Amino acid sequence: MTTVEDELEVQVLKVGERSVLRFAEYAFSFFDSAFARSPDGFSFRLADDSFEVRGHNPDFFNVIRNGLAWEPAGDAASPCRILLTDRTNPLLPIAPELRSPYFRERHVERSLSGTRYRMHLFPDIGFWQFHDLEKDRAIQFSETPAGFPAWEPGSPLRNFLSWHFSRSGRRLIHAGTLGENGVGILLAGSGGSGKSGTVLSGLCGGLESVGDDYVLASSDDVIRAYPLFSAIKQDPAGLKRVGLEETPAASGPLNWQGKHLIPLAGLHQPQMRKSIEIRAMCLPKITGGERTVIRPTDAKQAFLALTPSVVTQVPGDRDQNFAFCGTVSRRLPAFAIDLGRDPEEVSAAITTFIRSLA
Amino acid sequence: MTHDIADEVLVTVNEDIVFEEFDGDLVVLNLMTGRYFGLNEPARIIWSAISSGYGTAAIAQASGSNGGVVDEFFRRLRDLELLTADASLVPRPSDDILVGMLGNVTAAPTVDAYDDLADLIAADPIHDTEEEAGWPHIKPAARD
Repeated sequence: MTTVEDELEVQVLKVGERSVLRFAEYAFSFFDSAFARSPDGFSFRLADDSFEVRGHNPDFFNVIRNGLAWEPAGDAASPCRILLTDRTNPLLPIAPELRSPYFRERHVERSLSGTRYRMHLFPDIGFWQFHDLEKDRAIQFSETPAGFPAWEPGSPLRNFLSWHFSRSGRRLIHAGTLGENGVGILLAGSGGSGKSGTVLSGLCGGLESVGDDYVLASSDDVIRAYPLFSAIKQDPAGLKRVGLEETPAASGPLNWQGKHLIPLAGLHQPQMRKSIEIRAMCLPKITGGERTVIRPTDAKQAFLALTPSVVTQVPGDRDQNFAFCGTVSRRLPAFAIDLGRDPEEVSAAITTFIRSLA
Repeated sequence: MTHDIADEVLVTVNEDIVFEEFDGDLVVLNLMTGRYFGLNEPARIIWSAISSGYGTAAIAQASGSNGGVVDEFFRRLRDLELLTADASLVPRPSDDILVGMLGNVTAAPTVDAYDDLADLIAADPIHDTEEEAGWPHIKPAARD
């Protein structure tokens, strides 16, 4: 029996900054037939939208299943379709190879901004991602089935999710979340500011969360945060601070940042909420003080805490992500949180604060 | 006091210059370099006048005794590669609107580079960026 792989001869095409658009158009010309005949697939719902991923990569399917806050798929007429292909299991008759020794991502983004395509390249490992916004379909090229970046398991398909949800005005933001009864706060700040630790403390104190790192946000009549990724990240010392060092997750492997991935659902919340209505933006800071102090700050400080990470880390439409962060920062009251050193006290203080917002 | 400055129309260097306003101040980002800048309220007002097409001479004159300071401010915006002169555009002359915008500005316009934000992003856009690839690609040594 011949397989799809046996039939395909893959033409490797040199792709440079000026030929990215042509390559994207050419690659997507093969998409529908390749997607239809892909051997394996996984359909799911995420933040009320439908997705279908197909390819020949069981390991990456597990990454998706384990890393996304997904729900079973319904009967969706038009899911976002994502095709996974690699050099060892090619599903398309072409594959990209970088033409020059470097790739000026911002230049390429600018050239694609007026088109229907978005792309990202991690050149170190030949990891290419293309998205057709008009037909909401995407292709991921990698050298091998396991040839994805180290951070992918903690936030699988992040770029595709960003491009997909941007079509309906929702955007990824880099923030933690805490809430009670569906109402809560964003926690914004740089790495090391205490976002994840604060989320973990809040969860242990009975609060709920839809994420500690990247969440999906909408800014309609209210600001709302939706879960995308299923785990919270915390280093061993952080787990010990909240008394979770003996849990099964604490004995698991460390990720590329030296942190454990701990499933959010089941971590002191029976299941994750579909969304949290956000009433304030909070900027945590580790002070080591006796007590947690929450005090008003201004929208500009909130913006400067919220924006740089997402603009740097999420490719394509950075100007729109910048503007979205501006909108969110102006609409929400902003507060600085000087974190006390006792996780239980931190949780209690934030719970009281969230209740004051309801 | 008059100031002999060239009457030019300044425009943002390209679409990589984006900005958002917060309580009268402006935060500007150069998407190509990853550098953030903060403009105080007088600077934001002048930026707004520039965006409306007023010429640099008209803006400086409408700023009254601050004209020399404003001229220096134009120079700084150009040195930071946020604005450039567009010789193809005809400067909009001063009018009551411009005078109204700048008449109440007494403090000096300032633009500060938020280089401390380098700690907040993946790389210091000034020192760690791959020369050829540009921001946001960082040099291997900076990544480690």
